[in-house]
Amino acid sequence: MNPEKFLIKPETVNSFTTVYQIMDHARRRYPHKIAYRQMETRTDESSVTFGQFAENTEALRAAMLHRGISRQNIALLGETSQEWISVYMAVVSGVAVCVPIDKELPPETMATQLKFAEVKTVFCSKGCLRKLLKILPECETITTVVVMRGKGDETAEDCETVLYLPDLLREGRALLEEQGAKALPASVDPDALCVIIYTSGTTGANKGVMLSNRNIMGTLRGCARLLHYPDVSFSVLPVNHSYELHAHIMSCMYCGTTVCINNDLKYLVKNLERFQPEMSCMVPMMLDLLVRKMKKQIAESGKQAQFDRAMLLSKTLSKVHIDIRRRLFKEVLAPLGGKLGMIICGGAALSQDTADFLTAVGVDIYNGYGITECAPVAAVNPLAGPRRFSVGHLLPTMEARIADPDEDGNGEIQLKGDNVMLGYYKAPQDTAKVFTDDGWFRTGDIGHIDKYKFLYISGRLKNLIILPNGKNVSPEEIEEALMKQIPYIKECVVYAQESNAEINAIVYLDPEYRAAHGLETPEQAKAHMLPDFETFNSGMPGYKKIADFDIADTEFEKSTTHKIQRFKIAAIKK
Amino acid sequence: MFEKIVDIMMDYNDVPRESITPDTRFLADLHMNSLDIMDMVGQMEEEFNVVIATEDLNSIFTVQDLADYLNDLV
Repeated sequence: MNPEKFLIKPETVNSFTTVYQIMDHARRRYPHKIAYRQMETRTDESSVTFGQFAENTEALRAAMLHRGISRQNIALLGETSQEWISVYMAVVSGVAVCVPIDKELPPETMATQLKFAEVKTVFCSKGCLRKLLKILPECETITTVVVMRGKGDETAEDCETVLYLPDLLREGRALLEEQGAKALPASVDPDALCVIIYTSGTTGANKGVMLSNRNIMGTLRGCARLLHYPDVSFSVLPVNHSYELHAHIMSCMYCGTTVCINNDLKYLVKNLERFQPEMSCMVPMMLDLLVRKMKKQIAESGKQAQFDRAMLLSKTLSKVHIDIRRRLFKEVLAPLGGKLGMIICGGAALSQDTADFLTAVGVDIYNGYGITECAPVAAVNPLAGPRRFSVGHLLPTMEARIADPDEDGNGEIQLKGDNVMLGYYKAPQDTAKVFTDDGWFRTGDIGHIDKYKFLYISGRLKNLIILPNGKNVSPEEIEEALMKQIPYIKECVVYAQESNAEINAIVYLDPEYRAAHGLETPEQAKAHMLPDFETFNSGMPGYKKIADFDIADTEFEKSTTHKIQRFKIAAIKK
Repeated sequence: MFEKIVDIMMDYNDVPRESITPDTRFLADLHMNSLDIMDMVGQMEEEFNVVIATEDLNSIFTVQDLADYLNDLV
């Protein structure tokens, strides 16, 4: 892949301040190109062009305005679909404030989020209706439910007003025919609040991040300078997360990239084969699955020796900048559709083995760094020159500084720029805490930035362990070192007991390793690991030594974006 | 049914086939992660030509639970 060919001129996107302009741009530039493909049944799919998508969105805007479903907080609940994306575009384009809700949340958390945002209208897919109906009686502000696509036998007849999306679309089209542009909102204020996105709560309780169109466009404009998405992409992460929604789906709209929607994690691999995408945005767990499938297929085909030779040849040629990976590994890539060449990966640390394997067979991995409060991308590795240990180049729409750097130059990363949120919803005290007096956003992440504006993360401030001697220890740094030195540790969390400030760890070992070594009980596993653990400690400075460790029998609990919920693990142990 | 299920499960584990019993638990014994389980369920759907609702997975812990569930569907 020649990265230069994907770099695009930033001038056009730089003049945009609202996502509506992105949709309008796509409608004009790619009217007949397929915007979204989605599965309707196990075998049948539907699609919509950029022109049709914009037409539907305009009809929705007109109908919502006409019915008074405007100037309020509107929740959006459902699996990824072109209808979900269309409702989102309509709401944030001068109609109301959108509150995307994670469909995987337990009902009580969902109710808390809906009540906190004082949502009046919920657009809900039929698949999520059963869950919504259970909590509807306690969500007193909700007066209207609009049923979107999907299967499901429940109806929302208990609600004051129940509408159906196809009816709204028909109504909107008639209004546009009668009144033309008068049926639409007069303008879209780029600086007004347009979306409240709840954080995933990796380090604490969920907060509602308030974003404007200008914030979202900060991510899109910045990404457009560093990346360009190819012709067909694959959406597999939850659409309510700003990483998938803004960094992937909205950016694809600008680039005219067709987004093929995975309807269920059950069908991830099958759908890759079906849609044959050239790129996707994923989390490390998904890449691990793909690599395991590829390795298994190589082993079963009896071509392991042939594959090993091809690997050697590919590595040798890459040293002289000859890239024939996709030809060499055509068969290996076939189960992924055969065209997958680029994955943007974020959300958690990716194992170097997985990244190296994928890169070796021709799938380039681009790491990024984001935080919901920055809509969400702050840095991404550019197509033109990714750096292996960096989380990416700072977006051109952002400024960064390092507060109180230590002797290695590492300190808290603070950001300023278009991407930075308006604040937390109904939480001025929390908002004040994350901004410095001179207006910089405190990310809570520790790292440094090089002279070329590449960002390097070494830990999270909130997780910092502050020892009685004043030394700060980043648990992530110890976790990484521990997992590197003891390869049979699959997951680990390092934490400090408040009472004595000793560093402790809880580790989850590779189950295959445990089985192979007959380590059935946690006690056996601990005894087996002890010599390796002591060797590890002997190489660490005194204040970074781990006093004791426990063995976990199951994987750690993760958020819906597959991040370890370390605050829960640490809280149990304290 | 049990044998067919174990055939598919072997794609996700390196444990000896004979060690899988009806009481084997997907999480606690085989340490499968959530994505592996979802992918395996997709394979089961194809093999048995059924649709397994994601929410039903909350009450399936062992191989026998899955066999019973699939027996009801097929």
